[in-house]
Amino acid sequence: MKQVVFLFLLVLWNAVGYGQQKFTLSGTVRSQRTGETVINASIRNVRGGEGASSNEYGFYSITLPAGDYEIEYSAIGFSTFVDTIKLDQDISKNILLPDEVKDLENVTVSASGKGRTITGTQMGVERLTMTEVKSIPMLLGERDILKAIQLLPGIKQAGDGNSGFYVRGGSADQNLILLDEAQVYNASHLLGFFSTFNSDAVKDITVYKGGMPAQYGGRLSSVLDVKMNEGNNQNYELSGGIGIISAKLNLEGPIQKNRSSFLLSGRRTYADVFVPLAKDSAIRNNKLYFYDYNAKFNYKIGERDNIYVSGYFGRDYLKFDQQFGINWGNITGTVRWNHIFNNRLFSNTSFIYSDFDYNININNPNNDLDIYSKIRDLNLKQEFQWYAGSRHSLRFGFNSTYHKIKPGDVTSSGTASFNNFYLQDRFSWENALYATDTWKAAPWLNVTYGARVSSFAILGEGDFYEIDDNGNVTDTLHYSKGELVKNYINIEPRLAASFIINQTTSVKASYVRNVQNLHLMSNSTTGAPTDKWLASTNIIKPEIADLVSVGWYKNFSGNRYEFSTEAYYKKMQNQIDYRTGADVFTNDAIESQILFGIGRAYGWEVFLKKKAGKATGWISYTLSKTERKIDGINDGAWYNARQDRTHDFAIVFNYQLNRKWNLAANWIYYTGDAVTFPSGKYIIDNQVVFYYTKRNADRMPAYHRLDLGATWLLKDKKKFRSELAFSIFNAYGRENPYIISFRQAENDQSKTEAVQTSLFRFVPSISYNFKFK
Amino acid sequence: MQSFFKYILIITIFFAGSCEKVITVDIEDVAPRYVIQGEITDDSTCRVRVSQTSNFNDTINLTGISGARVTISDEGRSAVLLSETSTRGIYRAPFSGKPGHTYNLRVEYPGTGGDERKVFTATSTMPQRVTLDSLFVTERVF
Repeated sequence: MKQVVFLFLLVLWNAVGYGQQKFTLSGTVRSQRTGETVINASIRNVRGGEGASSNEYGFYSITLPAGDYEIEYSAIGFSTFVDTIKLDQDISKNILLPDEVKDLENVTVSASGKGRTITGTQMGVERLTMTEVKSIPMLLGERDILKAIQLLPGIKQAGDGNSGFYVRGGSADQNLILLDEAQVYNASHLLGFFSTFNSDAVKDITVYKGGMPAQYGGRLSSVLDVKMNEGNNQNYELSGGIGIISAKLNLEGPIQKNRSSFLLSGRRTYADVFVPLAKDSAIRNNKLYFYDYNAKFNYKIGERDNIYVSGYFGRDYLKFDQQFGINWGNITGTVRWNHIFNNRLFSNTSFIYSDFDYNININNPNNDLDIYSKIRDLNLKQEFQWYAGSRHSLRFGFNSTYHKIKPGDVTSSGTASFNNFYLQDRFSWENALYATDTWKAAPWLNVTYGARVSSFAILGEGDFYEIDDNGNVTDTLHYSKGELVKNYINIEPRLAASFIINQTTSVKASYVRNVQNLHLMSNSTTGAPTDKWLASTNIIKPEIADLVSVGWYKNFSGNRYEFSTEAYYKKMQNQIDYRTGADVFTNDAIESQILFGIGRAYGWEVFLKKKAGKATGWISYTLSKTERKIDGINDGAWYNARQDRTHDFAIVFNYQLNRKWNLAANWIYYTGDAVTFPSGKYIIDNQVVFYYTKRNADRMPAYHRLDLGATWLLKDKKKFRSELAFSIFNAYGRENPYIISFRQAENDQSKTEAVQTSLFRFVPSISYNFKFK
Repeated sequence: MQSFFKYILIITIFFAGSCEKVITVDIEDVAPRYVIQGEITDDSTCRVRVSQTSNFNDTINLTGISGARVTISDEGRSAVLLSETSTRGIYRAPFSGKPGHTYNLRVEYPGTGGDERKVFTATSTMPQRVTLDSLFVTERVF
């Protein structure tokens, strides 16, 4: 592999130095008001049209022949700034962009010219601004980025009020969710009704549904990259909100002006505060709340070095009387060091900690038990970005992660009817090496090519098993501490090209391979905290997905409208599903409970977005199919994956009525989930038992819902701003099925009936938000 | 684990308020299959119940299937014939199992009218009685 990398660099080296004398303009783009770095700002030579964009730390570098230039700096949410530059030597120039002028008359004008880059090779990517997220009406008024991305094409909600999501036929565990580079293993609060991301602390959200750049890896279907705000380094700001179930507070400001800043953000639900008021003691003893904190600190050491420290801590508590309790939470921490070696070479080093654990207590009179499970990562990342010339820019680096998984400890006091048992801890070391080059091959063609080489080493101590076809353990192999059990090495090619047809139209194509070595064993569809993470073993092979996609992109009416359509085909290997009647919670040889096979997913996505004017919004539609084929399930024939949805439609609408009032509405519709209903029944020990035939051959009823929202701006002064936000979730009260269960009819025990439970009809909310600045 | 999901549901309902209603789901009828449940103990229970599955939407079929020839043999010894009791589909014999022995169950349904003849077999070993010889507690730290 070393040789391949060497050759690759050699090819680039050749491509770098030729032509007339060239100089480099580089620097960092920041917001003038807050001092925050601006991600993905566009830097463009007005006359020639050559361009670059700032990276995730605001750094940019553009190399042009010597001469006089007008350089235009622009970014969404900021006013455009044009600078005149005499380029006769390498120039380093930091840019401060002023906020966009929020004048209603001007909205139409200022948004034009900031079309997404039609020319870039990246496809299958969706980026939402926090302004867009904040204008979408949400359940109980809690603005939520995970709910907002589910309204985009190809991204589907996992269930009513659920922050779990499916991307292009992938299951919920095939999404890499990153918060400041740290993996978030369970991104949901309150059983999925809220996500772990506090929208006040978030700066940027990017979702990759396909064509993932080589720096990302480890999950099959998507990457959700969430970046936290750094904190205003100019002025103190205190903002917050009070809603019907939660309150939040956000404080940020400079430590040393222009040099260092901090951000602290916290959130807590208080539905439980009212619980003790209930007369019924069964309700009074319930507990149900979560809280989370985000903190970030950054320090500019000099012109070339920046340090960022960020962390997240969140926890959920849920208790039902004295009988049942569960608490779970994520902790992440990231320390990053940016270093600018020179005007063409940028480096970032990250050290990342991530932890997820849960604890369940059950207190029945006969059985009391305690279940504890945990996953912990230590991760070191090094990345270089090398702006090699006017036609090439490179990214390369490595990533090394040590995973420790405790699948489950079950303990109980002496009165329980079973013994304590401990599933074995699992250890693994994941490494990846990657390199990628974005090459402006011709004025009409941009190509990004690269590869990621990943290795996953499974380490002792522990017992590993040999299993026969019927799931019986035939042999147990013991490995001592640190001993290598198995190492999986995979090469993941990444290739993307864009063909520029004209200034507003392009066609793109991409191919990516992704490999996944951590698998989620889920017993439910709601993203329950008890879902169990498993690492690959000698028997559980890495999941592999090959995704091919093509798309057509068009901006029209002066970039006020964006249209895109993409089609994809995904082939998946080593997919995991349960054996019929599997028990994954108490079995150490989990391989004996699961089966392996292949999967395929294909679909067509359409997206139309109106970006400017009084009325904005989008329409998205996905037509798709997702299937699996596993020996031992459904007689070895293709069957619908749980997340198979034929139609998925969303319309998001926002209307700025006047200076004070903003109105919003969204409507979604999707085909019901594929599920297995019983096809017959019989009696064993005087109990009715259901008989199942084909897997996932039945459908839940279709899901649809309308949400309405309005925001009333109360005050907008220089130092203070406040607003009231109203919303109604499920405005026409559709009874969407959350669960369908089967039971014997109450009036006739010999008859069976299907019972649909639905949640959330006409849920109103009101919240008050404020900001001191 | 099932109780876990029951609690989740209860809490969700408490939290969100929900509604429950009986719906009709479209479930196709499937061909009935035989269901056989056998039981042998070491204190003279030897009982086999032969029945069939019912369609989901039908009234559950409580009556068993008569007219089957049910035998149990103990590792090569001659088979014991179970005779049908007054309850349809229940077959019994005065017979006690012994721990450690393997029993073969054979159910033959002769086939009347249009039904074809069917034979079902199953094997099971009666486990030994378990006596505890020690009990201990271990502590583990993550």
